[in-house]
Amino acid sequence: MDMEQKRRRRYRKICGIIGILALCAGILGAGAVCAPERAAAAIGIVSEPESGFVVDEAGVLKAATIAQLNEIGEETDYNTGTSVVLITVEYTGTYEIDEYVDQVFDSWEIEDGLVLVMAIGDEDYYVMPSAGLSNYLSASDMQEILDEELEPDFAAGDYDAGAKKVYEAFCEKIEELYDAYGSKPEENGGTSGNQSASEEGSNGGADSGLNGGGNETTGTAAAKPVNTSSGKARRGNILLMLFLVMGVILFFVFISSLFRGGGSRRRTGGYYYGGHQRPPHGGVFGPGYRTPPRRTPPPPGGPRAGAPGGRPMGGPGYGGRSSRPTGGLGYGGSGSRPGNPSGSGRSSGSGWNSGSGRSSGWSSGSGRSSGTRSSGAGRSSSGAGRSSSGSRSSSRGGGFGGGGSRGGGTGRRK
Amino acid sequence: MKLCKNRAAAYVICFAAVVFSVFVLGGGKLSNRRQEAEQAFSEGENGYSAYLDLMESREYAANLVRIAKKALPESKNYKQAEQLLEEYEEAGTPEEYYEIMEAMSSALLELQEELKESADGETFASADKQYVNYNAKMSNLKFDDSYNAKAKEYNALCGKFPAALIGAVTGNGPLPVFE
Repeated sequence: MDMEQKRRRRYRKICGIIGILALCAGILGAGAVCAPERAAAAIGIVSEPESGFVVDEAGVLKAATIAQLNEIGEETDYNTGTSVVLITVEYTGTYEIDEYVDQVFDSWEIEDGLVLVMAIGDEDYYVMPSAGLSNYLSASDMQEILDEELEPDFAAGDYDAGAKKVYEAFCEKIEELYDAYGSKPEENGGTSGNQSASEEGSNGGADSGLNGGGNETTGTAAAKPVNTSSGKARRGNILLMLFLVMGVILFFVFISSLFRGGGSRRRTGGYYYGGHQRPPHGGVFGPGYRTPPRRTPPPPGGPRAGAPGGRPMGGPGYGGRSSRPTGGLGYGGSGSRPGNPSGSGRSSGSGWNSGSGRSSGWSSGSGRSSGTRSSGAGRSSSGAGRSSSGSRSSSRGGGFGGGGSRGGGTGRRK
Repeated sequence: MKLCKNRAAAYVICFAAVVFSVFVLGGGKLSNRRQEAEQAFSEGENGYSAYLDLMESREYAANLVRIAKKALPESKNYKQAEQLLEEYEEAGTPEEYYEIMEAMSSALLELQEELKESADGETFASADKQYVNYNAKMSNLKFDDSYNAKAKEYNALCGKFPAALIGAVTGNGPLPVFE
């Protein structure tokens, strides 16, 4: 068999092995389940009530106050299409108070409104309007209302009285603004895409209240994606396994090529193990000994005629042909050294789809959408400007427009 | 084919087939089971999941940490709990969450003991309320059948041979059970 055929045979073996490994890697890679990425949830945010605009999570408001404030809120929503939300909590958990207010907007899907959160345990409060409302209700206006209506009672610990006053004040202010700007945008030069609020305000007002929800202290929506694999560790293990399999297969191929039996052993002479062994030069008694010459048997009967006695007929005087190995190594097959199968251009990674293993597909996420928000007003916040994120089409008529984004807020601490 | 007549090649092919069936097919089945359990951890049923319970408990833990920050600013338990709150952000697998949850529970327990001894009545009452809420979420976690049941099934499968070997090689180890 010539070199070309040997090369082809070797090539087929290499291709076969690479194909098997590629199949393994491909199946492993296909086995990876890429779970879809899900958005982070508003965990820890008070869930919106089934009706009304006031949630007393901290338990500092009287029942009568809550009922009264809900009535006022319903009326304001009916007249202006704006939701005025009041939430009292002990603490805001892992959120800063301005982040908490922002999350309420997202979680409750408030498009046009104002949210006031009072964190009793932190002794802090914060208010933030929607972007449309913020065009008319400035941070200074809000701060003024907070300072006059809420702060004195809040500092004194009379949260019920303070909440009542500030809520009424905000609702009154919003209705004033709506009367001035909301219903007649063309006459008053209103901006921010105010619509013909007079028509839509009445229609939208009927559609007041927020979407129903539970009264649990939980957030909503989907869960944070979880890594389905141990990430790097698992991918590393899969690659390790592939390398192990590859290594074992290569080892077997190498061993098989060393002891390859492609046919009968070819003898070119020389010395063989287990084959016919010719005596060394000079016979079995050493190189110096020469076997006696062969004598042809005398012809039967009398003396030989014409043949000198004792002289051999023809042939050399030695016992046999001189033997000398003609091959290089004396192994069966050609005299050339068997090629190392791993040396003929095989690259360890050629043709492999090594695969990424199981891609997690799952990102860990930050647990909450940070977004950027416009500044709010509160007890502790300095109200630095933050642009709003996202926009939603208003589902309620009237209001101040703005498409669900946020306006400037303010708080207690300045 | 000449290759098929070669004994060594036949050994190689057989070995490759064995490795393929054990590690690839078996490993794929094991990892699918694991992913089902992990999906149950993050999605749960009817809007409730182990992940949600953990995250909500984290909020109560954060409230307790805030209280302790004011009352016991030098407490190492409060600092440890504060650090664990950040680790929740980094965690991604049930195993990581489980480790953090265990550490947080013990840190909060010690913090609560400290507050009971050192803080005034009102502060302790406020902290106790948060601690009770935290434990309530932990109880929900323990009775979360959607994840715990699947994790137990997977662990039972993973404990047998050769699944244990496949799991060790492919990184599909046992899942924590919140009990």
